[in-house]
Amino acid sequence: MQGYILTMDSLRNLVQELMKTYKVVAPVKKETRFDFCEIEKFDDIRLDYDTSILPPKKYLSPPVETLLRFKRSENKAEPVFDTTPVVLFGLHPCDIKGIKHLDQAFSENNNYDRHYLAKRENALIIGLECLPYDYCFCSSVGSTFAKDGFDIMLIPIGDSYLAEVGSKKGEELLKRIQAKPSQELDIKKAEAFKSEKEKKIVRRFNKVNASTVRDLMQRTWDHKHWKELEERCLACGSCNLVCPTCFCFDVQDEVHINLDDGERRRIWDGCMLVDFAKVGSGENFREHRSQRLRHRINRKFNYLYDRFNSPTCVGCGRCVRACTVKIDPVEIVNELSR
Amino acid sequence: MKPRVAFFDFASCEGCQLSVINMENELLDIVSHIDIVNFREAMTEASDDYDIAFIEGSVTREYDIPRLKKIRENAKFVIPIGACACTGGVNFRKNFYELNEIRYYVYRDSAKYFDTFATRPVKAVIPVDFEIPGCPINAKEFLSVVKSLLIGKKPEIPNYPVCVECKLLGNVCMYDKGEVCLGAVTRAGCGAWCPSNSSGCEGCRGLVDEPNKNSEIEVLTKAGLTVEDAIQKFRIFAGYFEEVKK
Amino acid sequence: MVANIQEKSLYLPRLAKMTKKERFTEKEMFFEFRFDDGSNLNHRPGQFVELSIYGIGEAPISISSSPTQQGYFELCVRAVGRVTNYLHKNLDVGSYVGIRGPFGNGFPYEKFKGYDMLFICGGLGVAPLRSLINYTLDKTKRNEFGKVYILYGCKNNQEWLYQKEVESWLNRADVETYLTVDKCTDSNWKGNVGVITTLIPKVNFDVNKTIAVICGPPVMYKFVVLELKNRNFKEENIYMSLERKMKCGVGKCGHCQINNVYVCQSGPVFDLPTVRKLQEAI
Repeated sequence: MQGYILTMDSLRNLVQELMKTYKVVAPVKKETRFDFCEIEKFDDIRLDYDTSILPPKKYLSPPVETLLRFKRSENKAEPVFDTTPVVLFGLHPCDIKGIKHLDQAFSENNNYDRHYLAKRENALIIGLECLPYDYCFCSSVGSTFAKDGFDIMLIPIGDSYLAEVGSKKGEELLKRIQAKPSQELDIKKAEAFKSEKEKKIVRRFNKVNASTVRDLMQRTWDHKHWKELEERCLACGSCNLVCPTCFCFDVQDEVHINLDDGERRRIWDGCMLVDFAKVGSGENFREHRSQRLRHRINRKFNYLYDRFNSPTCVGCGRCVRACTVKIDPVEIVNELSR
Repeated sequence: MKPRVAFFDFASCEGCQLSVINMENELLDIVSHIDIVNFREAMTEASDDYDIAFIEGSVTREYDIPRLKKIRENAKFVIPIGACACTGGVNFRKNFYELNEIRYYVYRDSAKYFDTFATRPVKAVIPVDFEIPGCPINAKEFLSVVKSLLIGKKPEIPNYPVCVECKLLGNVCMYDKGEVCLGAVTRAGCGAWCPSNSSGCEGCRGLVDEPNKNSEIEVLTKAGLTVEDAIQKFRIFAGYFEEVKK
Repeated sequence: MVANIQEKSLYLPRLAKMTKKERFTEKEMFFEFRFDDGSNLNHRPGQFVELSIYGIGEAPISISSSPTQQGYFELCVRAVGRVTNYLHKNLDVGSYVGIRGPFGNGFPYEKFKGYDMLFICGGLGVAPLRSLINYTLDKTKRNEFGKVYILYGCKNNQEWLYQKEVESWLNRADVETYLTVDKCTDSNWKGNVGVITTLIPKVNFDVNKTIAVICGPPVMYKFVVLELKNRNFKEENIYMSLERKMKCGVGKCGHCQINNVYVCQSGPVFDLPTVRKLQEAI
């Protein structure tokens, strides 16, 4: 864990340096919650945030994203790629893992989604080690710590931060602000922070872990619990829309009032919504809420496991937080494995 | 030739038509594509020769019926706009009371001059081609419907709840602020208008397909409402829906 | 990160010109399209395209012509949504549409060589199967396959698609064609009445050397499979093309997913043993 030491002042320097060339996005206070927003000054940043309303992926795969601009009269269209340099600052390890999943999803099978990748290639990720809050359960899905997927990782050590280097770009940046290399004691403190984090995680799967949860899902496809959840679930899609690893989308065309120019846009979609698997002829392949919920949970713990070599749930807890009836993956898994 | 468009109103506050008139920035662009030939709230001329009829208001009187049928005969497209026209709106609340009782309650001594029957939406009287819900309608959505009609595309009203729009906007959930909200069971399309302005959704756009009403009532009661209040909350705008009638 | 491997958008269609438009039924129309540069779509039977009209949207449509038909491709489109209705009502010969694809796996026809072919088509399901039927019957390919049986069922006598071609199949000596209507609404209809499964007992196929290929409305598959199983058909010789909501065509948008499978990538064609492993598939 060789790295650099950043005092609060040097962290301020780092952010101010970045703001010269990048759009800097960081956790800020939003009413009773926190959310990632573009900051105007360092002091906007809330390093003590628990989680954000939306995951930081919204800057790489925005809720509404223009794919093409077209002109109807000429049957012409051109793709839109956003290459604005962005710094995603203060990401917790779960969200860093979430972005790693998206990186793969948007470049799999030789289908490179340039709309996502253009943004991703121009993004710098600065992580921030955290302590658990009321809803998260990262240790159960193997996303407690980020080994990679960041340019710099900040670990709180008293009044300062140990800055772990994750990329060449990250290292250059730390050198540019003349950060001092860390000492052995700093590293010990950082390790102590991380083991404290591990100890504090109380929400967990009782009987399965990140690699066996998939088998549990496969065994419990017909479990009565899915039907029980149907009574509670509102199928509002909130869980999908706040998830850092949900990447499903709908595509819609919008024309300008001149009725000639327009845009083809993709919009976040969710498999909990009633029309998600409904085809033109009217057939709905996941008609019931219980089917859709089972699909969502299986997608996180089972269906995509082979492709991503891990659960795609990163344990951030946003879905439980957003759910007004508190449907909770941890409770579901524990109930299924009871 | 530009499509000829007419606006009509029945039992309503005329707020939906006002929303159309209020689109000052877009109105000139719109009238470059259409001819408005009948719009009592905005102009004096009135023609019966039109292609598209937008209808505001619910149907509450016997003699509304022939008037509606006439509109249906004249127009190629009949499009109810607003909660009253689409689902009876708040006017529908009267259907939960004995009709005469409510008539005398409202009009007192003059009640005998006001003929009325159970409130119904436009589609209960004549076939409609499409509906734009909301109290009032959302101008952006109205515009999007007009554009769709003009290019020959079936307009799209979302079949997902307001929660979706709130999430896309990154709003703080009303329940996080200690407020109640019907967003989880209410059809989107308003751009989460009320929650975005710190006010819980009242359900003015009607229910989504397959709403989980019982679970939502539990959510409302957990947030402090009595079951009776929760049911009344549904009745403000969604009384017309089978799920709420029960 | 993979940098700059492909600088283009997965979602940008290329233009194709409508060169034929013909009404089949009240709801279905036939279309022929060509690319201006004369290039082929280079598809396999069983694949689909995303048909795109700017301002209206995109819709997945299975390719109905055989790749042996060069210089153009054909689609049979039912008007059910925005794009398909617009295509029916607002676009005519000479208009351009956007095309992305071909997408999906298509039928593994290389594996079918030497086999007898049993096609089971329900309603619009004839559209994708016609691609493989015409491939099989093409004079350059015909000797690669054994006997050909075509079973085709419709709701009623007004719903036939590709009527002229169906007649030519009926007249071919090297094809056994069986037709049925679910309901007889028309005194001109003298043929079989009943759902498609009622045709299966009439066909004298050899289960040891026949491949069955099924496409039709979702409700059909289970019953056809049961009937084939009653005739001791081998599971691994049963193939089907599944309908799902294919929105992006490139394995991203998630709408077509069945369990761990993205139908637009691994499908829409599956053999029965694969389908058996998927819950919710049929």
